[in-house]
Amino acid sequence: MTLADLSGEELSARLSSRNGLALQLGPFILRLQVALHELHPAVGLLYAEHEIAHDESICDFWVRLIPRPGLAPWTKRARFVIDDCPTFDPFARALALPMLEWAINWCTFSRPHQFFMLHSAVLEKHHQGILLPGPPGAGKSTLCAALALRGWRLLSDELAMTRPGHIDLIPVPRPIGLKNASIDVIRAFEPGAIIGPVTTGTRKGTVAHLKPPRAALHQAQQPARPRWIVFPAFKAGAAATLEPASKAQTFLWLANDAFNFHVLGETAFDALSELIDACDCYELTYGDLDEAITRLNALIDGDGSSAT
Amino acid sequence: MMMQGYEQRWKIADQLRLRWRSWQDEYIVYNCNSGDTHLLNPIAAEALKNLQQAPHSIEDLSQVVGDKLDIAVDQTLQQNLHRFVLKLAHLGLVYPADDTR
Repeated sequence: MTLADLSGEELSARLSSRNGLALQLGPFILRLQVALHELHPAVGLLYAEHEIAHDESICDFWVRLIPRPGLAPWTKRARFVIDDCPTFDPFARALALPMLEWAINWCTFSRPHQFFMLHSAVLEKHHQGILLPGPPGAGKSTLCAALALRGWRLLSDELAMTRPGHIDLIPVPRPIGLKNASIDVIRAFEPGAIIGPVTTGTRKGTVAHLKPPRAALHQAQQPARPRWIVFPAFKAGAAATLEPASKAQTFLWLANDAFNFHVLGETAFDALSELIDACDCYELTYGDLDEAITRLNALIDGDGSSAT
Repeated sequence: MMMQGYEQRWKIADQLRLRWRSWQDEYIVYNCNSGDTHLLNPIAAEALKNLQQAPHSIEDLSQVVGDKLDIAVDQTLQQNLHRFVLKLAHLGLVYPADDTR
């Protein structure tokens, strides 16, 4: 049963209830309580294809989003309570949707140390997993969204996750965060893309979320074998080029940007070494999404001429 | 011409445990004690591996590394290795072998 199977009233009642709504996020169960009723339609839209977990399930994360009066009575604020702890400072209620997504990110990035977790978008096509790491602003989420809308299976737009001792990438498909210009870029790229409400004035500017394609959720229990690590770099007007990247430098970059390399220590060193061994590494410079996708399709189809 | 400080012998830190991986001609070394990861070129990697085996002065180290990698043992190599060893010392990976303090 997915969220789409609930009526608007049922969804709202579950999200407002004492036990909240248990959602399956890849290997995790998120128990979500949202007391801000204005968010319920957006949650229903963006998580429509997500499985509802059994109500009695033991949850990995319990996220409550509740209103909180501001110092001035006319200000509307909200705050999170995560696993019964008021973890973060209150924030403007108008920012609640992106804050909810970031809070769920925080749970999945900072808690489950039974997994090795890298900061990277992950997709799969023809049984070949591709990691798209990169610094903020490199265009990885935009490219990830575009690939997901062109038939690549989305595993995550933020989290490359493996179990130590195994290199298979574990899916945690969730809405893809789009920022600023990339929102309209994706709208123009795929007019049928389902994008949630746009929130302005966040710390990262204007933010909206792309609903993950149905296929990503239907195959959310199927891991992907990593084959490629590609650092995307958007450059306006640039022709798409793929250049081989140093494996050792890729290792260092991923280790420094990983969520729990220092927590897992030597286990993470082994896990990342195995991942680098299994993958070819590239840098993709692109100025046009269709060109970038053509390059990546050629790469996975084994067309050696794709790398220039 | 030998420069001041090059006769100082350097030794790997006690109990230091390193893990190595290499791809093409680049090396990743992981410090199991600190959790830090470093990227080394072949010269730096060879120098650190030799320091793991025995204490060396910069002069000795230059000779060993130069012979192993078939590169000129000159002042440039000595200066580069001196800077590298000082970086290792700054990171707590090596210390002066004859320091009795």
